Amino acid sequence: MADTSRTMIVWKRRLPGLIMTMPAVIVFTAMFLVPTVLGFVLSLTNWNGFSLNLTFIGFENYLRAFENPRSVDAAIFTTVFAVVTTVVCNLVGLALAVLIAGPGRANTVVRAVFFYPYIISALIIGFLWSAMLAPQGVFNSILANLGLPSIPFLTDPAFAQTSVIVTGIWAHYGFSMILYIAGLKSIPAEYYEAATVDGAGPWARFKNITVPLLAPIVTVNIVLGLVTALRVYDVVLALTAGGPAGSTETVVFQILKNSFDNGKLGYGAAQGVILLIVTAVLGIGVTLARRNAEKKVAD
Amino acid sequence: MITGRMATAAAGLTAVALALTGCAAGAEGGETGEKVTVTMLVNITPNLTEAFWNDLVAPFEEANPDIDVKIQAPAAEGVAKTLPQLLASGEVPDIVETVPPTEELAPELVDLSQYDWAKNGPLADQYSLDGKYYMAGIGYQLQSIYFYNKQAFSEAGIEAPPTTVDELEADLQKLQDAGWTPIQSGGEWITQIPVQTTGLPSIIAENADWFAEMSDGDVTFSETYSDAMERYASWVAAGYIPADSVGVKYADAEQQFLSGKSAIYPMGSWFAASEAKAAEKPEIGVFRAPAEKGIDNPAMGANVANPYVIMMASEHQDAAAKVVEFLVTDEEAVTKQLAADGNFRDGYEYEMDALGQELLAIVADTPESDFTPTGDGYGERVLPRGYQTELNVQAQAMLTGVSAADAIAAMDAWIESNR
Amino acid sequence: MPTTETISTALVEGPEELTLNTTAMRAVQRERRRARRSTPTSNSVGGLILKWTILCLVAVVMLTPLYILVISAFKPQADIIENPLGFSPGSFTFDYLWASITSEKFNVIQAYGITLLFVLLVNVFSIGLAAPAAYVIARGQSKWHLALLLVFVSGLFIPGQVTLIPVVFVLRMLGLIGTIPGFVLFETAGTLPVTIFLFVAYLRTVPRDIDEAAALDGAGKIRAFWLCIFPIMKPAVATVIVLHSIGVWNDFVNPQVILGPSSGIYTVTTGVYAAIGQFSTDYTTVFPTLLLTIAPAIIFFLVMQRYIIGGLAAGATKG
Repeated sequence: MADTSRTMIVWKRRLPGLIMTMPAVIVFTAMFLVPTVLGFVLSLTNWNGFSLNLTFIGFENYLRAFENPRSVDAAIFTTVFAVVTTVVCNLVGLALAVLIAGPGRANTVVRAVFFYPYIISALIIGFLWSAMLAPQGVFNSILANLGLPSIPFLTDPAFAQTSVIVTGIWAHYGFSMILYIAGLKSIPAEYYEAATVDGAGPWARFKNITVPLLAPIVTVNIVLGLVTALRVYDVVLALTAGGPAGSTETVVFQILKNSFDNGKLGYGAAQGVILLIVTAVLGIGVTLARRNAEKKVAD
Repeated sequence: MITGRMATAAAGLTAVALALTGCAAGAEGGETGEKVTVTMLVNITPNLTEAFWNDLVAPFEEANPDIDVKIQAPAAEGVAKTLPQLLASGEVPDIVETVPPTEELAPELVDLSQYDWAKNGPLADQYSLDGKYYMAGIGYQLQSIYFYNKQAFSEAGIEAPPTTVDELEADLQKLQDAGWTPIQSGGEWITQIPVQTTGLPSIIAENADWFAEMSDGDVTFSETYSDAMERYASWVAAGYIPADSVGVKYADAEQQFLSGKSAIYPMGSWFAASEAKAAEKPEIGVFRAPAEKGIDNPAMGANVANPYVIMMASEHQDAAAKVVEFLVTDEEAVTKQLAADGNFRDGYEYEMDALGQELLAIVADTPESDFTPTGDGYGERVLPRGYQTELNVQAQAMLTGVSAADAIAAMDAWIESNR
Repeated sequence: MPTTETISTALVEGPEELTLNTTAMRAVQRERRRARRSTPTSNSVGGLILKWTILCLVAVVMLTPLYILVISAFKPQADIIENPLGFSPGSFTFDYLWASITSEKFNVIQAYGITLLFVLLVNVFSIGLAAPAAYVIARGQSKWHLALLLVFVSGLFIPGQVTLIPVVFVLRMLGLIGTIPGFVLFETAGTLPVTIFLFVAYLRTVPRDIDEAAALDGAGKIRAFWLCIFPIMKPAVATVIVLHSIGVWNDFVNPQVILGPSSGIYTVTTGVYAAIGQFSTDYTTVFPTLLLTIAPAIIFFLVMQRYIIGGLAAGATKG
């Protein structure tokens, strides 16, 4: 009796907490955790999307992902895209942030101009740039009107890959910039004053105050940039549809193509699991590696 | 305060529960009245509009007041990509037009072997699986054909269409010398067409089991397709196929050929429907894709026109069978469909121009056994899914400067890892 | 080294004006600035010219596509190709824009409505589910609370496309595939990691005294939370709304796969995809349609600029 009543009291105390957390836990479990685990299970099968009779085929799908030239190419392009866009977005974003971090109407306007593509859907950005860069698109029309030969922005593999990367940078560096501006604003002015009094020049101030104090923002920018870029899909679909010659297919492009066009959902799921692992390892790895850089600030 | 607490919790949970059940209840509102509704997922194209389909089944609905045929349009990517999504979601239509039966799809399809109209229709045997007939179609879509600009041929001094690939190659040179763009090609999905049109007639004529042996790994792509791939690469190098074709959209390719800017256009017979509709056009003829020298029965790539299958999940299979029977046997319905999409069937004449007559003659001249699938194949002759897409990728690669050897090696590797 | 000087000037002046607001401080500041300006090392006129040349060049790169998009929505195809950067006399017309508004292929007005509905629903559910859970987690001290936080936060690293294929499976079993509730549930679940993470981070900065004050009122824990704590979370809620509104409005793959073709429900993005496809070269359809789909986002951005930029920055830097 005593036991049950104590249990009752414990439960009564816990009840509100349970009620407050359970709905979120249930929805998250059903729509996120279960599918994630299920994704791993499906990746070990030959599920074709038609029937529910699944055959377990071990790690065959994973082997295939590493052997298939098309998916290897897609992985390479995705990596290049992620690294180049992240590096360039950060460099450009930081440089512009330093230029316009200050207050003033002009700076605010310029900031909005640099940032606006971020709030437009990547799919629509892709369509917009496709209209600019297509063989009969605006840019080639301008070239033709000037009597210049056309440029195969989207129809030559190397050009098309570059076009996708440049479009990605165009749409995303504004976000890095905004984060850097926020970071710059949070650096107390006294630091600079003290440094100036000590006779530090502008470059010394930038190197010794700005860079170390921005370290956490650099980490956030790199992690967010990489994680977002590794999932790139919409802009590619609209800009090049993976072509020409499959040169701009990305990992997610492959996942969706294999799953829904080629009816190999098990294979698609395996590629998804690989992407998940890579994303998680990169995200956590970069965060840990950057800890050192950030620690210096605390010292 | 417990009541207040509970009320808040209950309200939250009810909201979730309502959201969970709300639409499920709505979705199952269908009543079991006398009138049966048969849904039919069809391809919507400029030729086959939604209005066309509704118009097509109208006489049937009039004759069968107890059956209502509901036309369902696919997503932007077409029926082939929509169906897997519908199957995955469990919202299966009763009839599906345009998706050929395959081994993976067969368990989801109703066996139509008991019906004569399914067993004796066009390409019925080619599409059968294990002796079972799952689809019924209305006619032939030819694919191993070249449309040509008659003025270009006469300017180049070509008197008769080529009968071997070597002759064709010589003609391409003549056309180029006469100032014409010899072959009209394009980007998107049509880049692979010249490769298949050059290769398949010989490959299949030499080895009728090519599809089966390819998918079993008994023969490889490089062993069988190298000639065609090398020819294609050499045609690109010679400028017969302009390297910038990869940027030409399908619709623009068709337009360029129709406006007399190019001499030869390898394309399926459905092009005849566009040609018939075009207001101003050059005089256009068509010839069967030739095979290599010494092969006297070049294979003819063909798909069945408007194939219909009935889904196993359908609750109205008998009604659906009635609809399909009407669509593939009623003379008016068949000719309407043939005419709409430029398809052909021996014995079914509709008002067609000279080009249509030429195509009909090719159909009539081709023995049923010479017809072959193209692309990923159908029936028992299938390649790993995505083969044609990959061939297209490699054709584009050759257009942009990749060597034939590299493209062939890439095809071998792709097939190997997708078999 | 004009650039470095410009950089450091811009750099130092910014934070100062933000942090030193009192009149007294301003006076000090003015003095200091004058002192700095007079230093002979600075080359600030040249620096300013360089700075604004760079900024203007970048601005041109950013605005050209937008400019072309806007003017091309009001021109016939021939003029788009022959005169891409301007108008030929008499070529200006509203016809194509009107044709896109009334297009049968893509009902853009309806798509606005549907997408807006999704934005509202996902925000309401995400915040409604996450806020109380985040409160419990932020105040809890047991290992269970930490574990719960870790589980939710792990979601930040799971790409949506990975769960998309299996989620089709799950929704199918629940009978929710192709339905609005199914889509909203999945989309909400996808937002929970960010929402909970930001809420927990925010709530940990809220002193516990407020809990006790709320409890003194005699209100139950749940009621106390909604009545007393939740209103304090306004800044975090605003951040979350900005993040999720942009995310849901722009989402393409999830509605495309989950709502599917048979539902007949098109959001702005899936509708554009269906209308334009990837192959259209009819620019008299492409440009007006794109203009119609971009316009609400741009207007929303212009009006709410400060909150959007602030919210995004806050959201990301807390992470």
